Order: sequence, then C-alpha cells, then structure tokens
Amino acid sequence: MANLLVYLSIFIIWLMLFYHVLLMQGGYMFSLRYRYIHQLWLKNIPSQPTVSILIPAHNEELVIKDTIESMINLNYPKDKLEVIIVNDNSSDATGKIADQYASQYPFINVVHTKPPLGGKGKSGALNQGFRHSSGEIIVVYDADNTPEPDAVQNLVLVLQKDRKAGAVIGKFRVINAKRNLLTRLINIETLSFQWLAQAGRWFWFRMATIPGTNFAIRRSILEELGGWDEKALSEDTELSIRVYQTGYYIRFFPAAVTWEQEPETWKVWWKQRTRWARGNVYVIGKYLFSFHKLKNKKVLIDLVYFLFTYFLFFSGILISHGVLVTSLLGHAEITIGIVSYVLLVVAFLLFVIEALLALSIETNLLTWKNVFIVLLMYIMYSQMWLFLVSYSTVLEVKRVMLRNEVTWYKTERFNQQINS
Amino acid sequence: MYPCKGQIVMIFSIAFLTVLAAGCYVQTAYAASFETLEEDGPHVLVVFSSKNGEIDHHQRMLDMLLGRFTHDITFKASTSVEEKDVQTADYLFYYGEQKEVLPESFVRIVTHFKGKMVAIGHNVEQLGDNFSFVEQVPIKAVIERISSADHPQKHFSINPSAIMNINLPENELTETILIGKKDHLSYPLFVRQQGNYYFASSDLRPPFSIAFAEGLHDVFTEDVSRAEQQSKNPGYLRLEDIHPLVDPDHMMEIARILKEKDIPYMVAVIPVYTNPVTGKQYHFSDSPELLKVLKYMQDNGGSIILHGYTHQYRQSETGEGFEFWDVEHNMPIYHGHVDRVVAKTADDFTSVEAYEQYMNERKAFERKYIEERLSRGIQELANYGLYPLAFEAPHYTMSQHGYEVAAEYFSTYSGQLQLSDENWEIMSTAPYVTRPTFLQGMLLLPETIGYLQPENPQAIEQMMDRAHQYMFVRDGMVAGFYHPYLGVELFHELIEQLTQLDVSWIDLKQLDHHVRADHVEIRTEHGEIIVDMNRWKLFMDSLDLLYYHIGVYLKRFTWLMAMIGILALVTFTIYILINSTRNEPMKRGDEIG
Repeated sequence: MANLLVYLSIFIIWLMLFYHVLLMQGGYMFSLRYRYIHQLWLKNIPSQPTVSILIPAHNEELVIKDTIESMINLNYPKDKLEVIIVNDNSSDATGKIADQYASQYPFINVVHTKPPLGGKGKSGALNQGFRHSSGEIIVVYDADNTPEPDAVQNLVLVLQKDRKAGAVIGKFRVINAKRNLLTRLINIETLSFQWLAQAGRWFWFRMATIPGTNFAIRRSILEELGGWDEKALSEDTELSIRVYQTGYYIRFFPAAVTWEQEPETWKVWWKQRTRWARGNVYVIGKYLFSFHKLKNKKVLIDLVYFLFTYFLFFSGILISHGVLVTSLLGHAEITIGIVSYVLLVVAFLLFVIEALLALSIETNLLTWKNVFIVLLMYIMYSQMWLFLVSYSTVLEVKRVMLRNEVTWYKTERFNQQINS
Repeated sequence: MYPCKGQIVMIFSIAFLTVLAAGCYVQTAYAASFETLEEDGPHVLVVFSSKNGEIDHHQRMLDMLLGRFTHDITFKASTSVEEKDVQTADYLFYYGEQKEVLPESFVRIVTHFKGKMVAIGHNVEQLGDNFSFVEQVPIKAVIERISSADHPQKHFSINPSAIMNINLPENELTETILIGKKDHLSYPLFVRQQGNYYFASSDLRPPFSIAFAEGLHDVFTEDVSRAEQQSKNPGYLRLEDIHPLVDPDHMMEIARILKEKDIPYMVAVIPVYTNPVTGKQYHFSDSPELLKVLKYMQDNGGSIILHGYTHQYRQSETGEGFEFWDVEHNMPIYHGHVDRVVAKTADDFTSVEAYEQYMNERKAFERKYIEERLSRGIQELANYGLYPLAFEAPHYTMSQHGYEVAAEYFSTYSGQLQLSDENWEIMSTAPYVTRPTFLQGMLLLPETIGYLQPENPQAIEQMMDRAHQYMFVRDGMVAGFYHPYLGVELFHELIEQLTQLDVSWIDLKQLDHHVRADHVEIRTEHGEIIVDMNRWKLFMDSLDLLYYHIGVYLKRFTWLMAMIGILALVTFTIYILINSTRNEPMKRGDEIG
C-alpha cells in the first residue's frame, strides 16, 4: 500500500517536472528566436495606432509619481497616446498627484471613482478606465510599474505585425531585487516563471497568460468580452481564458520591459500570493466543469496545469512527504529502493538548473550569490507554497460555501526613495 | 537459454551461440560422469527377515542401494514368499537383518533358484547348498578398514565395527571381492561362489553401504555393462537455505568464484522467510538484488532447487524449522499448526476400517498441506523466472507418503532420505545416484559428505574424509552443501579442497527433469530449461504474482524517468554555459538583481 502511494506521488510529481522541462526547453529556444524577430520588425514600423494606457491606482501615493514620470518618458507619439489613471477610491494623495500631472500634460487623464461604483478592486477600476478610454489599443500598467521607454511601442508593434495576436504581454523585471532576501527570491522566481511558463508555453502551444501589467489588448476584443470579470480575484488569468475564446492568442514578447516593485515583507507577500492562489482556484472552478462550452480547447492545457499545480501536484507532494515521515517513523515498508533517492536528487537539481538557465538568459544575473539563493529557494521559499496552497484552497472553498463576495487585497507599496 | 527469451538482435545471437557452443562442449564432459537407467532394469526380488515381517527402514536402505541398478524391485518377508514370486526374478536378494528360523518353503526356493543370488547378514547357514561355502565363525570380527581384494591400494577407513566372521574354502570357485581389515588381520566382507554372493554384515547403513554398493557393481556388471566405463566420480555442491533475507553480496561473490572455476552447482531456495518473532513474511520480490543474483546463478552454472516453501512450521524460523514433519510430536503433518495433536494407534479403534478411515483423513490433510506448499513454491519461483529443477525437503524430513506426493511435482530429489515414518532421525543416504522404489519415480541425487559447520574446526577435513570414503565406489557421489551466510572466506577454503578431488561436478540442467504445478510445467531437454507457463491463469489464481511484475515495470519506469531527468540536466547545463559565454562580452550596465 505504501509502495503504491509512493509510486503514485512519484508519477504525479514527475509528470509536472517533465512538463517543466519541456517548457524550459521551449523557453530557451524562444529566448534565442525572439530577438531576431524583433530586429526584423523594427526595420519596418507601420503607422502607429492610438493607445490608451490604463493605470488603476488605489492609495498609491508612494509610487504613482515614478509611474507617471515613466509614462511621460515613453517613446510613443504623444498625439496618439492617452494615459488614464484610475484613482480608485484612494484615501491618500494619489488623486492629488495624478491631477497635478494631468494639468501639466494633456495626454494624461484622471478618473476618480467612489463607492458604490469605485473601490471594488482592480477589475472594477479597469472597467471604469476602459469606459473613459478611446484608444484602438488598450495597455495596462500597475501603479508600481516603471516601463522602459520602448515598452509600449514594442507591445503595439506586435499587435500591428501579428494579426492573430489578440493581446501581447511584455516582460517584467523586479526593481527592488537587491533590497533583501525576499526580493532576491522573488526576482529569481519571476524570471523563472516568465522564461519557463510564459516563454515555454508560447513556444510550444502559442499560449501565454496576462500577468496583470505590461500588456496590450485590442479594444475590439475587450468590447466583445465586456471588460474584466469583477468577481475574479486573479482577473488577469480569467481574462486570458476569455481572450482565447475569441480565437485570438496572447503573445509573449520579452522585448517590452517594465520594472515593478515586489513585496519587501513576508506579510505582504503572503497576502498577495494568497490572492493569486485563490484566484487560480476560482478559475479552475469557473471553467473546468464547463469546459465543454469553451470554444478554444487549448485552454485545457492551462486548466489542467492549474489543476495539477493546485490539486494533484499538491497531493503528490503531501503524499510523498507523508510517506517519508511514516517510513522514517518505521511504520511503512518501502521497497522502491535507490531509484527514489536518485529521483529526489535529480528533481532538486532540475529545479536549480532550470532557475539558473532562466537567470542566464538575462544579462549578468548568473552570479554565485544567485546560485546560493536558488539553493536556498528550494528548501525554504518553495516549501512555503505548500502552506499557501492549503490556506488559499480552504479560503476559496469557504467563500463558495458561504457565498461571500470577494474582497480585494491591494498589494502594499514601498517607498523606493526612502529604502534606497 | 530459455525459448521465451530467444528473440535478441542478430549480432547478440551470434555471440550468444558461440558461448553456448563452448558451454555445451564443457557440459558434455560432465554429462558422462554417471548413468541413470533408461529402462526398468532386471527384476529383483528381495526377501527379508525383519522384526514383524513388515518393510521398515532397513529394507528402504537396501532399496536405495538397489535403485542404482533396477527399478523393478519386489520386497517379500521370508514368511510370505512363494514359488511364483521367484519365477520372474532375475536376481534374488536375501536380507538377514536379524536372526530367525527361515521357513522351509523359502529354503527350497533358494535351492532351486537359477539366477544370481545375494545374501546379506544373518541366517546364511540356513540357505542350503548354494551358500555352504560360507562357514560361520562364532567369534565376532572387528574391522577398521575396507579394501578391494583385487586392488589392495583401493580402500577406505571406518570406525571399528563388527562384521560376521566367516571362513571360506580354498578353491578356485570362491572369490573374495571386498576385505575388511584391522591391523594385520583380514576378514572377507563380500564374497562369491559363482552366482552366489554373500555380504558379511547385516548393517547396510553408511559406511557399509559404501562397501555394499561397490560390491553390487560386481553383481550387476553383466547386466549393466556401461557401469564399467566410469572414470570420474560425480559430485555436486549445493548452496543451502537461500531465503529472501540472505545477503546478495555473499551470494554474488560465491557465484563468481564458481563460474570462474567452471563448477556447476545447485541453489536450494526457500521462497518465503518468516520472522519467528513478528511472524512477518518476506518474499523474493522484497529483495530484488538477491533475485538478480539468483538469476545470474541460474544463467551461469547454477540450478535452482526448491527447498520447501517456508522451511518452517508453527513459529520456528525459516531455515531452522521443519516444514514437512512435526518435529515436536515426531510425526508427519497431520494437523494444523495450532491444532491439539492427539496421536492414536490402531489399538484405539474398534475396527480395522475405522482405523483406515482415520489414517486416510490424516493423509489427506498431509497431502493437501504438501501440495499447497510445493505448488505455491514452484509457481512463485517460476513467476520470478527462477525454475526449480529438483526438490529437497527441509532437514531432509518427510514421510513416505510425503515422498509420494512430492513425486507428483518433481522428478528429482536432492539430499538424504528419511527412511522411517516413526522417527525423523532415521535417515540415510545412498552412495550413488539412484531411484529407490519408495521415491515413487523420483531420482535421488544423494548428498554424502555433509556441510561446513562453522563451529567445527575439522569440518572441511571431515567432509574430505567422507568424500574419499564415497569415492571408493566407482560411481560414488561426492556431494555436500554450504550456507552462504557463513561468508566467502570459508567457502574459498572449502572449494580449494573440493577441487583437489577428481570429481566431475553435476550440472543439473544436463539431466532430464520434470517439474509440474498448476499452470506451470518445467522440464529440461539437452541442457536447456523449457518452461510452459500459463501466466494468465497463474495471475488469476493469485494476484500477488501479477503485482510482482507490475512492480518490476513500475520500477523500470521510474529509472527511465530518472535517466530522462539527468539528460535534461545535462542539456540545460550546456545551455547555461552557452548563455554565459554569449552574455560575457556584452556587460551592459543594467546590472540589477
């Protein structure tokens, strides 16, 4: 019996690991290819369309100034650019700062929202901003983002060149990566995620998931879809799935780079991740059981992936941890033998090598310090995920049972000037 | 070697055939070391004088000795033998195990008998003119050595033992074949006058069995002419008590030594180990390493034999306990291991029928018990790809009825034989390969020189002494066993000594065997093991056998996963190296993180 469980958990875990190997392989090949495509496209930039940039902001006084400054620095014809800051029921100086810029720059607009329409979270704010927008292409940035000057131009370029792309996402980098251990960990995590999951899925399946910031989407599609789902906690994932239903795909284009702030304390990190995990559980619940209704079956790959991550892989890890403990206590007879140790070591090394490969794609990130942090990441950071998933699943199940409304937790910001 | 594994790529087959051809060449050399009868052989009538006129272990001992030369043996008590019994007999043996007044009818039969006759032990003086050449001397003769009369250098020593003291007439017709000696004194031990032979001892157990066996060659030579052609003595070495918890490393080292020395051998396997304290059972599927070694052995000179299923009954430990004999009550297994044992004799019953009914029930129990264990043992081993070719009862203990049941499963038996149903300690061995009638068709490959007892410093010496004794017989068997848990060093010592003997080691595969259990049939043909197994039915009967294979595949699959994982590791490491060299000369200013 114990043996059966061990094999079951090994197969589940390794199915995931092999999927990651496949994605990483794709991500690596894509990292070689996209630069070439970018150069090709840059040779012939057609006449640029009008663009509306939506920036939902709820109590963002610490970061909104830098964000607006980076908008002003964008290399995009200002007559075709419209920046809409949605001051979503802020109680701090966010609205004031935004209004100041709006009075100076005609392409900057501010939308102030109050309950009952405002203050309901990111989706609501985005829908409000969308209503006030006029651009052919909608670009979204979080209020803590400072995109590089060419970011918007590159995003738009993709939509101009690739008629099948309904939306395009860029790459985000961590601006406060060197702040402390947590941000260093997040830095490695986000790069691994983008080169493995985003680039890998794009390479193999022509799929990517909107990360909530630094992405562009055609206005026509948003209108067809009726904007964002205000019930969704991870509105980006949810929107991604709906975009696929229109027949378009979402393209990953790492030449469009934004820099964003990541949580600097574990408490903030925990709350943010809980929201994401709950959001993904919501998406599984919303689409998996009505899967037959989905037009684009490709989404199944992602749904199954989520299902694996949040349920099967999770159970696999729990079972294997459980069996390990019982066999250490001498209650279980495991005859699987040496291969289990080999698998354990190989799995660990795969984790390390994949993270290092993602780091090596970026310039100057492959340092001994980061190698050490990757090792630390496996024992510490990754194991927290177990608790995170358990906690989030319980919360989400409770919500469904009690039919509660979602409450949006906005990630807390940190003052870069003071900190640095 | 097995047909089911025959489909290998061409190039492998060629290499394989070359090896096979070389192997066959070597193996034919062994195959000639002893002969087994292909037909029944001459008809032998054995007339005996025993305590109550019934066949007991004395007659079975003689049975073992005669089984080398014929399978057609009839036993009759001197009181019940009739004229017609003798008419079809080619040979007449009289076994005077104890003194008695022989019936006149029997003496008359002897006088008129035209074939060869052999008299053993007591009462020879009553056998009439044919044996008048044997004159009894009232003083007992004690001997310490037995030698051949024709070749005085051919002899062996024994503990001082008394034999019948006889005088022979000095004439050309009388011939002494074997002589017993003590110091300068000589006593005739085996003598003949024309077709009449006399063996001057009523004891046929070892070491007298050795002398008697060699004498029998003289008696039967004309009929079995091939017996003369023997040159080397046959022998075998058996690795004993190989249960699932045996150390595979010791086994592997021993296997390598034997392969290197080109010595074929037997491996006595016990499929289940029972922990005497917890009662927990271990199967070979629990120790895959050992299974691998056993398969290696099977492919490289070793032959598997089944040494019981658990080698225990009640709570005893595997390898220690008796399996087919209730040693606590010194009786066959007529009851479950927790049942209260009530031994009844014929006197406890009012009628013969009631007693027979009672005995039939007990035998039915014993039969079922043995059948279950033998079939389970054969099936389990065959499921692993280990094919037992012979059987060896744990501690050599089994009832006569047990041998009858075992014969339905096996055609070959290795070891010694229990000769009495009353006491397990009455057991003995034959000096050569034989087919005693009480084995119901099984061929006995006798174990003769014992085993290496670690607590006995002279163990190897004593084994060698016995080997020399048995080599007195022209086809005398030199066979012993070794417990691999004793380690490799002792084994080295033993094998060093054994290889100095002029013995050709038996490769079990070269003999014909037939092993049968439900859904499994194993036989050998021209040195190959041929297996006929209905796996599907086997799995239906017991799912564990199927689970074993699933487990094997699962494990292989996990290894495959590990290999793919390692491949990915190597590939990704190469990518990292490519990336780091590509990024090196650029050193842009955006050094963040």
